[in-house]
Amino acid sequence: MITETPDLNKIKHIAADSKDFEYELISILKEELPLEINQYYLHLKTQDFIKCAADVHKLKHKISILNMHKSYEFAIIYEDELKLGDDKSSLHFDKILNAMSTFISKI
Amino acid sequence: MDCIIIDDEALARAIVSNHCKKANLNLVAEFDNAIAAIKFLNQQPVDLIFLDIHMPDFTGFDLIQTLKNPPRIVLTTSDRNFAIEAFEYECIVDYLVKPVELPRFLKSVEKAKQVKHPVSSPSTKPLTEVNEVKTEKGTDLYVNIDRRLIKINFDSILIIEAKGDYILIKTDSKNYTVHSTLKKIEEKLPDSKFLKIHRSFVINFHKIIDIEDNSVLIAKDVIPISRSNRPILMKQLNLL
Repeated sequence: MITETPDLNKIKHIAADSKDFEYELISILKEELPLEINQYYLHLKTQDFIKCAADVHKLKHKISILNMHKSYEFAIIYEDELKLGDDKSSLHFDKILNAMSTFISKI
Repeated sequence: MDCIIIDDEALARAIVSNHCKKANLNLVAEFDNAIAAIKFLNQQPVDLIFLDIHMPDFTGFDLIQTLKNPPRIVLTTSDRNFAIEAFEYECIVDYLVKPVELPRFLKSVEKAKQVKHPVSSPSTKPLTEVNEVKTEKGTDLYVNIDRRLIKINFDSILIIEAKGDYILIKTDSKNYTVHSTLKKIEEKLPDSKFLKIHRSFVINFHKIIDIEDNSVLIAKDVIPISRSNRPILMKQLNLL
């Protein structure tokens, strides 16, 4: 499965013509995303799949705002799998999270 | 229109807050959790709430159930497949999928303006006044143990726990095991003191020491609170 490349198009679209608002959103994203990812891995490590599913649910917003449509669809399925106690898709989700982390660290 | 935002995600709050300015709404406060918002709403009613459904511990739906007279509510969610549960609430006027885009937000505000408030006006009464005592059941309960009727004062009861065909009544001084069910004993207890917070536990909520996430501490016992019963418990508390 190919991992999508995140971009800032949706953030720019939401911010419309306001550069200040665009920077504010990027700044919050850079702060909040690593915390949410850490929380997800913490729950994955303890195999608390219900909390993992809640973490993935929250991350869906970040995936969507980084304009990763296919990854968003994948996260919907993965969230449902986790609710059933199945983490078999975690490796691919790792790749999505890595792509997001790498991207935000460079902007 | 006075409005508030309740969302545990800072990014989501920032977007909705920005849109509120563009829609000329008077954003009076933002909250990252529902409990803080309930305390605020007890003091200051608003016309509209932008409410995240999916928050840890206390969800958007829990909050709606806790409010006596909820104002108009626009739900915000990361789910494209909207929760069917939302249609059960008259106060919900619309829902927005995150990240919320301005044109869709403005439509939602227009919709909210057109919808008349579901009830006369937002409540200004503290939530603790919501559930008043329904029936008077005296001050004591008699239980049959070894052919003796033993009197237990309601005020001395801490917890009642279901144990198969029996119930365990824990009091300040002694514990009693009685052949009965939680359902039967619940009918004998005054609503002003007792509440079922879990399928296996009824508590005397005047004996609560503290509440943490999904449990309450009574004497030395940590009692779980089920998700569905948590809003009912929160209504009984005199929150500051």
